[in-house]
This record gives sequence, structure tokens and C-alpha cells, in this order.
Amino acid sequence: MNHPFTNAAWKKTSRIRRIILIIIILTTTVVACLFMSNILPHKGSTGLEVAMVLVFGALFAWISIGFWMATAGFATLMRKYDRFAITSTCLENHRRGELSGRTAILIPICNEDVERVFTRLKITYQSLEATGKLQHFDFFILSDSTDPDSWVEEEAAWAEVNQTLGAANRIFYRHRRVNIKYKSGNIADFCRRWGKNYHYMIVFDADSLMTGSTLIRMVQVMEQNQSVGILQTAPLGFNRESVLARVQQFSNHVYGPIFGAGLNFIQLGDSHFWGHNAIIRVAPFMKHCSLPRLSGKPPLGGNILSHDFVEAALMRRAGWEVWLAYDLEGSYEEMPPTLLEELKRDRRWCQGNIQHMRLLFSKGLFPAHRVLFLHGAMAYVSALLWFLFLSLSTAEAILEVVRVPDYFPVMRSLFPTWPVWHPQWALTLLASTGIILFLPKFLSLLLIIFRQKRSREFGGVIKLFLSVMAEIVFSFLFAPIRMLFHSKFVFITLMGRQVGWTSQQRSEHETSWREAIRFHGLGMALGCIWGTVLFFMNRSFFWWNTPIIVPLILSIPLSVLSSSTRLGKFFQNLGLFLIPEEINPPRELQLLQTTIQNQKTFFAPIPIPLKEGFTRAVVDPKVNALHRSLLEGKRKLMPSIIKRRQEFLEKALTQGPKTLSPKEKKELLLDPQCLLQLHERLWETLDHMIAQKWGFPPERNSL
Amino acid sequence: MSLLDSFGTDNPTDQCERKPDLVPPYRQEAFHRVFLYLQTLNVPEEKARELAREALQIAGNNQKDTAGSPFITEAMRALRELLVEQLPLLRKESFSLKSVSLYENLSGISSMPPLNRGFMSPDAMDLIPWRTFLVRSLKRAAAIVSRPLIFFIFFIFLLIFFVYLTLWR
Repeated sequence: MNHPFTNAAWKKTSRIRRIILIIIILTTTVVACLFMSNILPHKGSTGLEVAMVLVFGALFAWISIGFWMATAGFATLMRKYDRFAITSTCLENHRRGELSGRTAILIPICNEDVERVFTRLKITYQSLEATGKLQHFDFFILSDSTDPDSWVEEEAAWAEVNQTLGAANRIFYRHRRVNIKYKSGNIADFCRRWGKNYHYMIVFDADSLMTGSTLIRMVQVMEQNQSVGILQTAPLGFNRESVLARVQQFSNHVYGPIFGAGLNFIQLGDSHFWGHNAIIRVAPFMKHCSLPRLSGKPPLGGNILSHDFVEAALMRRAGWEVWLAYDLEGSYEEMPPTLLEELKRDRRWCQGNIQHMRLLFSKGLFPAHRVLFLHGAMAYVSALLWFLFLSLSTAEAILEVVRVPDYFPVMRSLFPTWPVWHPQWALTLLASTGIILFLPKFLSLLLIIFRQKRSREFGGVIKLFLSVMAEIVFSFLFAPIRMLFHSKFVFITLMGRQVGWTSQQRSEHETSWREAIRFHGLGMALGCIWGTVLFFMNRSFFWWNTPIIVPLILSIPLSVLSSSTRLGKFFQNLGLFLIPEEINPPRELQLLQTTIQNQKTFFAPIPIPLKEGFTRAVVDPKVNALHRSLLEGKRKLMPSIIKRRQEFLEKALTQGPKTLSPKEKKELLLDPQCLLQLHERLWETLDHMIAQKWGFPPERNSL
Repeated sequence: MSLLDSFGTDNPTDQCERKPDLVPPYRQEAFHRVFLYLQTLNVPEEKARELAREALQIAGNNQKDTAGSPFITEAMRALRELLVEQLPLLRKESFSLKSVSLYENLSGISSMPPLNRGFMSPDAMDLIPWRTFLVRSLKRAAAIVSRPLIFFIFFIFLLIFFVYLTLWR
């Protein structure tokens, strides 16, 4: 039976739960620190050892948060009923009723793979259409693309989708010439132009896919709970072939639910916003969530990069609730295909999350959101702390070998003080750390096998168990590599070096050996030097550290092999890392697979690749006309600009499109007159060489 | 029938009897270009041939007036004029030609709904909060210490601390 809850109840409960969580974490951390100090040669009495214990304490507290959250999530899911699950407030009679508010589905993109974006849009549209409630939704592709080819490709894809789906006046496209404030600015621009037309907006990422029923359900929950400002779903990974991405989407499916339930257990109405696969109430968002520019220069000043956490905090500050609908299915996203892509993304997130530390003490924010800022930053700072801990422990191990033991540290002592090491204490500490790290994984396994009885969806009990074991090996192997990169990211962010906001490479591609050597070479060298020094100076300490040293030495082959789609398929054939969507794919994912297989890459009859948007805008009369008509009204130009554009036009006509820089292409695309002139003159040209440079087939063979 | 057989001539009735090699190369070239253009617009083959022939015919006539202008240029210009006239009719005949409307009706297309302007300005947010936090904390501490009893205890504590520091070797 479902009970709608009152605001007061969750607030009181969340306070009690959070106090208990803090007490448990502090207690376990203090105990672990005492153990640690006892293991150390001088029982934590030297400056070096005090520093080690402090860093260890911070790290232990950090991993305990995840452990206790997962335990809470496990208990919640074992009970099978959560009084505070936001979806349980959506009653059956309301589910059958009509939606009253209008919803905009926003797809902000920036130089993305256009085919992928529009395929997902098409599938979401069709899925929504099948629910019979399409009339309540509009789609907006909000482009910030700076690449002229992508810009034209997006316009052509928009026209094609509109025509195929018959979706005129339901799917809209907007291109921003200047992408101020990146994604948050893109969304804000939508709100300023059309926000007043909608009650809710559902924000997608370029790789998001959501089913129609899930979208409807999200709106229903918002309508049922008028105090909710943001409702975040927990997107599941799907559709990947490389080893690393498959491992991640598997862990996302297996461990994600208990961590999601755990997060909800602690946060309740003070939850996260992850920037996509979430529904937002537009009016309060427009009123309270506009982001200011931080004083000072980037990376710590300037525009707020990771806008989502801040928007959630601002929404909450204004009194609106932010909830995680952890049990809502049908929300998907894709994992980065390679380790390098993941690290590139992490570098952006790292900078954004560290920037949040500047807002930590901002007036009016709720304590829970201050903790979220801290938590976000710790996700990366913890890597630096781990690196620091390893450095300190290595220094201690070397010092122990170099230094002459002092058997009489206390003056006038009758008896010597022998340096005693307790390996059983070290093992106990190691075991308890292992439990904290890996128990949540086994709890997830138990939940799937015994409570939810869903092991068949993962290939059966044995394959599921083997997949979890293999995933643990993978996480062991990749943790030191990630640690090294994250430490570097934190360090260079704090040193004031900025990161660019480039688009993510989301399609499947493999890491080349050259690329891997370039990115991991230094880490491998560090692993080799560190290992050699320890091997010769303190052999026993070396063996203790092999789980960290070996992956660092193997980082190059690990990065290359983990990006392999062939190896990924091999594991899939073995029945490892399977996810329910692969065993029994929902209709939307089946459609996606079919569409991907039938993708065309050229436009007929002139063989210009679809990705060469600028060339298409010049050659293809339809694309040319479409692009010109979508350009906003006529502008009066300065004579110098007209002259410059005319020069670009002549250059394009005499040398072909490949000689133009992106900036020159963009200038021509911005000028409808120039583009029409270019189109007409090209089709009238007598020079076959030039025509072929623009993609025309040789005259004789064309027909 | 190959497409070369259907090049544009002054007399369409005898086109089946003419051989391709008798057609002047500039005319063949113009025909190819015009036909290709129509293909990119998804015009059905038969209709495309008909339009191409017509365009070439007009181009032939026009060329007499504009001596020196290349035939391809004239043919393409003639085709564009023809398309503006004929596309609305063509569109009714075939579904595949719907996309052609994009070419014909340039000014009518918009990818965005009408604007309904709202505003979105940032709420007041402390941009250097750590400084405010520090000042706020110091003020609070000062407010607490300024109470007589607490000030006395604080003073004693400072005194003990000072004595301890002085005596400590």
C-alpha cells in the first residue's frame, strides 16, 4: 500500500538518519585510525606517521560513506517497500488521468555525433507517441555547436526527422551563435525564450534515452508533488561494446540500485541533480537557478562549470525539494567507451567540483548541499590523498631501512625498545578495508539472487557471480591508474590551469597504442621507478604494494585492451558482464539497434559524407535552402565584413572546401547571400576539377 | 532508355532516333548537371528528364540573347526559374517531393516556436563566501568573548597558556 508522505516527516527522518550516519562514520574512522597508528613502526609518534594517520583517516571516512550508504540501500531494497520513495506518491488513479502541464524535452548538444543524437530523439519520440500522450510534450534540440559541419548536419537531421515523423511544431531546433556559460547557459537561453510556455522541462544528455512511459511517470510525480522542484532519475548504462564500458554498465546495473536507494535513504528531499535524465519545474528554476559568474579567473573563478549541483542547491535554497527517483526504470545513458574518454570527462568534472568549494559557505544553502559540494570535490581530492598516503608510507618504509634503529629512545632506560611489527593487525585493517570496499558488491549480488530473483536477467547465478568477481579484478586494476590521473587533475586545477569544454567522443572507438603511450607513459615510468626502488630497499613493503605498482606498469596495455570492442564481444559471448537490456531488450533499445545498423553515411546522388555539413550546405539545394531560411533575419553588414566574406567565397570556389578553415566556413554559413551565390556559382561552374573537389561525381560516370 | 537518349533538344519527337555521339558535348554536360540537380531534389526520374529537357530548351533560346554565356550557366538559371514555377504542382503529385518545399518556400520555415520572453537573472549569491564566512565567524566569536563572564574565562585560559609557554623548556 502506498502512503503519500508529508514534508515534515521526511525532514525529521532525514535529520535523524544523517546524524546516525555521521556517528557511525566517525566511530569506524577513529577505530581504523587507532589500528593504523598501532601498525606503524613508531606507533604514530613521529610527524610523518601523524600525517599518514590523518590522511588514512580522511580516506577511510570517505570509503565508509559509500559503504554505509550501500548498506542502507540494501536494507531498503530487502524490505521491498520504501515509505520515502518519491515514486510511491504517484497514486494509481492519478496515473490513469490526463496530464495537465506542458513539458519540454531539452537536448542540449555541442559538436556531438548528430546521427546518434537524432536516432535517440526519434526513438524517444516514437515511444512517447505510443503512450498516446505526445500532445503534452515538445522537443527542443538546443545546439551550441561551434563546428560549422556539425551545425549544418544538425539542421539537415532536424528537417529529416520532422519529415519522417510528421512532427512539425513538435520538434524544434535552435542554434546559439555564442555559447555563453556552456550547457547551463544553453538551458537558461531556452528558459528565457520559451520557458514561460512550459510547466516542466526534462533535460537529456546527447547520449540519453528515455522511454515514453518513464517520461509520463516523471510528469505525474511532479504533478502529484507540487513542492518538488527537481526529480532526478538514476540512468542505467547500455549499448556498449568495449570491455571497460561493458564492465561499467554491468556494475551500474548490479550495484547502482543499492547505492541509489542508499542515497535516497540519506538525502531524501535534499538530493542530487546530475544535469540530465531529470525533470525540472520551469518557473522556480527560472526564478532561482540562474547561475552567477564567480569572481576571479578560471579555473576556480569565472563561469560555474558543473552547474547541476549548484542548481540543485539553489532550488533547495528557495524551498523546493530535490528528489532522486532511484526506482524509476526506463532511463538510460551511455558510458564513455574508453579509459581515456572517461579520464577526459573526469578532468572537466574535477575542475567543476573543485570550483564548488568556493560556494561551500554561501549564505542560505542547506547543510546537505554543502556536504554534496564537499562530497563532489572529495571524489577527486581523495585520489590526491591516496597518492599522498602512498608517498608518505614509501618515505616511511625507506627511512626505516636507511635509519639506524634507536633502541633507547627514552633516556636512562633500563630496557631497549624493540621495533615490533604486528602483521596480524595489518591484516585485520586490510581485511576491514576490503570489507568496506567490496561488501556492497556482494550485498548487491545477494539482493539480485535471493530477494529480487533476477539473476536470469544477468545470464544466471554462476555467470553473474563470475562477472562480479571479474569486475572486482577490473576495479583493482584500474583504481591506481585513475588515482594517478585524478591526482594530476586536482593538482593542475589548484595550480590554476584551465581545462577546455570540448565535446565528448561518445561513439565506439578504440584507443591506439600511440595514444596510450602518450597518456600513460609517465604513469608507467613512475610505477617502474617506484617498484624498483621499493624492491631493492624494502622488499616486504614492495610485496604489499604490488596491487598498485603492477597496474601502473601495465597501464598502457590495460588502456588499449580495455577499449577493445572485440574483447568486449568475447566477454559477452562468454556470458560475462551481461545486463538485462541485452537478454531481454525493451522495444526502444531494439529500435535503436536496428536504426544503428541501417545508418547511412552518404547522401545520394552526390557522394558527400553526411559529416561534411558545410559542403552539403553549398552543394545540396535542399540543405542550402534550409540553412539559409533558418538563419535569423537580415543583418546590415560593414563593408569590410562583406569584402572579407567575398574573399572567402572566391577561395572556396577556386580551391574547394578543404582549404577553408572552420572560422571561414562559419562566416560563409552566417551569410545567406554568400551561401546562395556560392551554391549557384558552383552548380554553374565549367571547371570539373573544382566540381569534383566539392564532391560532384565525374561527369561521364554520374548517370 | 538511357538518360543520354533523353537530352534536351528542340524537337523531342525525334530523340529516340538520335545517337548520343551526335549531341554536342556542351549540351550533354549541361544535361548531366541539370539532371543531377533535379536528382538531389528527389524529383522522380521521368519528371526530372522532362524538366531537364525544358530547361535546356529555354537555355538554348536564352543563349541567343546572351551571347558568350556558357550553356551550363544558362541551363541552370533556366532550371531554377522552372523550379520556382513548377514545384508546387510537383509536390502534390508525389510524397517524396515534400522535401522540395524546403527549396521553394524559403521564408516560411522556422525551426523555433514564436518567442515568449521571460527573464532569468541570478539570485543574490555570495561570490566570495569564504571571506564572508570568516568575517561572520570572527564577529560571532567576538560577540561571545565580549560577554563579561566568558571574557574572564577566556582571559584566565590565555594567562595559563602564556605561563605554560614561558615555563616550558
